[in-house]
Amino acid sequence: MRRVLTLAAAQGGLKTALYMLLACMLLACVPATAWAQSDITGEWAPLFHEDQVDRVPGLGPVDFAGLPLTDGARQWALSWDASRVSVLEHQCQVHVLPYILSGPTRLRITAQRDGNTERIVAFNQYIGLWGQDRTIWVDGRPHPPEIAPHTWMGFSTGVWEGNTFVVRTSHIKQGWVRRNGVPESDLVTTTERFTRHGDMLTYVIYIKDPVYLTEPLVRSRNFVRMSGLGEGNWIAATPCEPGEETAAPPHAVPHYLPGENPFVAEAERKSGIPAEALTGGAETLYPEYRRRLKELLAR
Amino acid sequence: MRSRFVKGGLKGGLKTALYIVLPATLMAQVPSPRAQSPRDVTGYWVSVVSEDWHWRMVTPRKGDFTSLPLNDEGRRVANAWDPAKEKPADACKPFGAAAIMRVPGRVHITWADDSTLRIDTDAGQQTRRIQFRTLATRGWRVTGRGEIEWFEEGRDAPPPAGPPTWQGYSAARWEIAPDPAKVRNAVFFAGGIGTTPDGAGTMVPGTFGSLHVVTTKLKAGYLRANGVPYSEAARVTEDFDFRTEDDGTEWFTVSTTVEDPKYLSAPFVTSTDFRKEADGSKWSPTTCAAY
Repeated sequence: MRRVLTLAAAQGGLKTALYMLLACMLLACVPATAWAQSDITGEWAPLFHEDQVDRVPGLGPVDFAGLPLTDGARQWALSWDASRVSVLEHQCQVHVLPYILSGPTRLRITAQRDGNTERIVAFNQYIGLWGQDRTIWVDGRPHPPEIAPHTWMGFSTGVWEGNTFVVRTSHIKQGWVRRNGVPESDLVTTTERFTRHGDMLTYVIYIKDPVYLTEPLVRSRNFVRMSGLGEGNWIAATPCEPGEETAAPPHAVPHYLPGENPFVAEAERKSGIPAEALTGGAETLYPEYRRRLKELLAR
Repeated sequence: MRSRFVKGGLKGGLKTALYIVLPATLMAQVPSPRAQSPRDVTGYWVSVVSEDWHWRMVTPRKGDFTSLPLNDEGRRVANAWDPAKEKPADACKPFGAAAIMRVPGRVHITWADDSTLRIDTDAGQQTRRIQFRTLATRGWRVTGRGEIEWFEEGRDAPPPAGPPTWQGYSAARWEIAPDPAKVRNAVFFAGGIGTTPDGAGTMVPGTFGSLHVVTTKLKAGYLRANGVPYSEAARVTEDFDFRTEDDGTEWFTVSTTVEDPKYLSAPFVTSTDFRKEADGSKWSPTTCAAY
């Protein structure tokens, strides 16, 4: 701008320069609109400034707070014994899609192109810690019929809403929405949104489960771009080999019968929160529940 | 204007008029921020507390700094927090702009004028004024040494004079993605050339975008109600992403980054989810002290 004003002053005099200055000042007042970045390919690392306990060490037993559970889901979760994961059949079970990107994993996103046309037909995501690959088709193909096989990562298709990559997934195996035994059914569907803000990727997942959730569960996470850090920062995927780890009788399934979970009282004592709130339910997700919580805490 | 025409003649007068009218005309051609809004963002929105439930629905215990990137000074000040010594004037400390969107409650979004978005909260009865101004670009990037660093390019329009407040001074801009119907075959997204309706990288028609907000001039407050501090040097960057889910419900997620050289060792990043409500029937104004 200094150059323009100098030129104006030289050619038209001081007043012209002042008018130009006025014009520039007025134009500078016009708020700018910027185009957002939307290249989501690359390597991303998670930030754990929210839900850190749930996502890294894991919440203790009987902490289902903030989940819109059905009565059936609550009963399932209360009957769950952490020893379940040592059972041969469950040892190699990985986090399913509704939970996996909450975990302490890095994420690599790449584009898959058609060899003949060079058009992008899919985006691939490699979820580092559990060695999971998922494919998100963007070539317009439909989801398979209901009877098609279910997998940990399900079947995904994607479209763009402006700078946001929107992914819809079905055909996910049964798993959990919280890894302390809160179940997720194989009828679950998800809508994920990946939005890039500078070198931060905001990830939102909207989970609908007609069996175990009374209303959709929403989670949002943030990732930071890691490209350029090299392969040394990735943990190599190791195939899971199940093996006998405990002296439990063959085919025994660790569990608690209704009313016998010893961790209910422990969870209350450790957190200072009454079991009514700890065991979740849609009403616990809303601001007005604070009034009920105050009543419970006052008792 | 009349004397100018008389003194400088018709040519001079026209020249003067041109200098005044041209910028005004150019300004008139630029839609206002309200007109640029990619969707109607006004209305009542409720925060759905499915994250950090233990740290939001109740006041965490003293010394519980889980997931906060506090530096030594931040920990020292937070550990010195004594609720018994809080003065009435401290009651709104947990409701400042660095924390308010994380507080369970409802927000009411309206346009105060064509370039000012107003956000009222029932929790703490706070009012935020989001003014559309020129902003610098900030974010993380990877250096040549392979380290992540926070960078800043350009400069923000300077904030107005005045004392710091709980909600500070918020400057904003829309970050609007090009409408695929208007920008055919443009290589501006990861899908490259895939802009055909049923081809690779299908783009949903319409205008989409984010609201980018930077807040400064904050009065010192609490990041969490258990006395975790942020200082007057804090800068809050927010990206609001609005959307409609397949079931027709409207949502926004606000990603909030708090930088504070005094109490934080790294930017503190959270993302908070709000769902639109049909009306204000559940609006429940509560003072800071009564919350």
